[in-house]
Amino acid sequence: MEYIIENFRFLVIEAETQVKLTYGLLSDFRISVLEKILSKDDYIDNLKATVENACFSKIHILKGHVDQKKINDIRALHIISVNLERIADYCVNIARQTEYLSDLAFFRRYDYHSMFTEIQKGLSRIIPVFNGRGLSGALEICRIESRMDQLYKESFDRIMVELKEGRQVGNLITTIFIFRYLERIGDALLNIGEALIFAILGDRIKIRQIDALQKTLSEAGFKEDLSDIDFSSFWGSRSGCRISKVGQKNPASFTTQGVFKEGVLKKIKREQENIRRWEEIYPGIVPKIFGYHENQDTASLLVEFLPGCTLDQIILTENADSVRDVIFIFEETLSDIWQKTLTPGPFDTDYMAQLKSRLEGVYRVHPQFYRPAQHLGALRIRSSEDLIHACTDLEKSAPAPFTVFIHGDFNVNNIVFNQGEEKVYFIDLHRSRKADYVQDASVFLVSIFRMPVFDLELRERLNTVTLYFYEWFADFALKNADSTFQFRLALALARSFYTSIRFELNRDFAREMYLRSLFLMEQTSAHQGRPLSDFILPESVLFY
Amino acid sequence: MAKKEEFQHESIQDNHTVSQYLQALIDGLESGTIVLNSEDKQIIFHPGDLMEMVIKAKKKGDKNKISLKFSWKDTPGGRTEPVRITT
Repeated sequence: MEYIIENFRFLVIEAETQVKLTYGLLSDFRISVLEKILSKDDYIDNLKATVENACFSKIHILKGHVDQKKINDIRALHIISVNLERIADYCVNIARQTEYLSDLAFFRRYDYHSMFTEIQKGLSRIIPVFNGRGLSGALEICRIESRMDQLYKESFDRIMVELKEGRQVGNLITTIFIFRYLERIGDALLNIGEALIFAILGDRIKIRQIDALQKTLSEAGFKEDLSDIDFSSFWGSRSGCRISKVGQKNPASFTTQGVFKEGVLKKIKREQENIRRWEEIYPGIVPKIFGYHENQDTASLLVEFLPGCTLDQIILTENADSVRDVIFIFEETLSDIWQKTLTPGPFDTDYMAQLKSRLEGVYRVHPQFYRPAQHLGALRIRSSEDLIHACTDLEKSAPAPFTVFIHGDFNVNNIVFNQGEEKVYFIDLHRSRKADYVQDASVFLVSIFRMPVFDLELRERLNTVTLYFYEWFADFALKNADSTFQFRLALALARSFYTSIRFELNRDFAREMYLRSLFLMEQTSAHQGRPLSDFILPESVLFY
Repeated sequence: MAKKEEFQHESIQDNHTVSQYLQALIDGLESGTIVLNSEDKQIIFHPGDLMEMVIKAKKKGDKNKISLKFSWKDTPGGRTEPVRITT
């Protein structure tokens, strides 16, 4: 490790020197300085290669002796080294640009001093921050980038105005190039700052997210330094939200763990509002909100981390008795929620619209899962598009007879069971709303179907759970005089099967779901003209 | 090289609908013309007088499969009588 750090220090010093020389060259052009800058290029490249080799071989040696902190340090050192070498390269680029200026005094009319001051400030902090593990220092380095962007913009705007005057065009363009390289150095400093944050927190977290987390935590009443927080990033989301588990390194003072989510404003905001709604409707069913913070386009949310297992884990790993117990508690809870929130009155469903809006995503992953219109002799076979169209029309004639407050993304893995408390929790609630319970029923059933489990015994288990819940949903429909349940469920399942394949790369398994979706649409559209309450769902589609 | 024309259909169907598909093929076989369309592509088959037929059936555990295959070559000049050599 000392060998890496020693060479790393050299690299920092060399990058600093290169920046100083470049600043000197711009302020007082001397051919000897230009030559010196150019000649250092190879040396810095070699130094970076030395650090890189040392980092990789160290990681190789560490293999098997997992010292995560050390590995994080090595990763950070490597990223920083790559960016230092890049900064040195930009200096060479800038130095070369001076050859195209007819007069350096022309360039000196612009404020390049401020940008160099920022760069030097950033570079001089790298070693102290790395050694001292100060998060605020790392954040300072990150923030240089936005100031550099601002400085770049000021000079850029001025140059654009001057370009329109049509004089000194060559010099102006060269000047833009130089400023552009300086701005790129800002980007490299941001990467360096983020690598330092990674070394300190042990999590790849962006400055934007740090800012959001800091504000969210302060709203939650957390006053200590962020470096006291233990981050563990435990899943990346499909939908572009950043989710991390957050707890404190010293468990004595702040024992609760939280889940930190950061992402698009609309989605996070909706999730926050929905958690509050759930808390009113059915207290204790959702995690507590510790903090919420909005920025311009993004928002962040810190919620209680719920210890326990998701329903899919329970179904697959627990013994039959435990599964039965959990299912019993789950169905009691669900029945209670549905009964409590049931509001009579027709509700127009939009299953086919949901399908249509996700088709593009489906075709991106599986462009072949589209059926053209076909004829087999006199037999007409409807295209997938035609089927969706026909079902859209039919759906209008089958409104749900009542609404309940639905989860909205009722995947088995969005249901958490805490064995200690014997309690069910719902997570991922940004789609909760008053709607048809069949939406939740179909998403739930298809989320079991689409689990990539092909072991016969486990599949049998999944099929048993599917049948149990299908009958449970049907029973709920019967008790509430919902005569078009099977018809709506067929449409909702067609939607869930079709849209699920955009997450399934196993072609055969995806094909299985795609064909089931078409089959359900064929069945429902063939029912046109007959009473929808007579429709019988071919329930074998639910089992794999 | 001759142009390759292809038609493919895959679906999940109930027993009754599978019969309808088969019936459509039987009608074509009996009439001597099977027309298959997919979007704007069309293939017209004239099943020969002599066809090779393969029926395969498989059962393994809970998996079942029956496949039918008919193949033939188009005779040059259509359905004319073959030339008889007399002595």
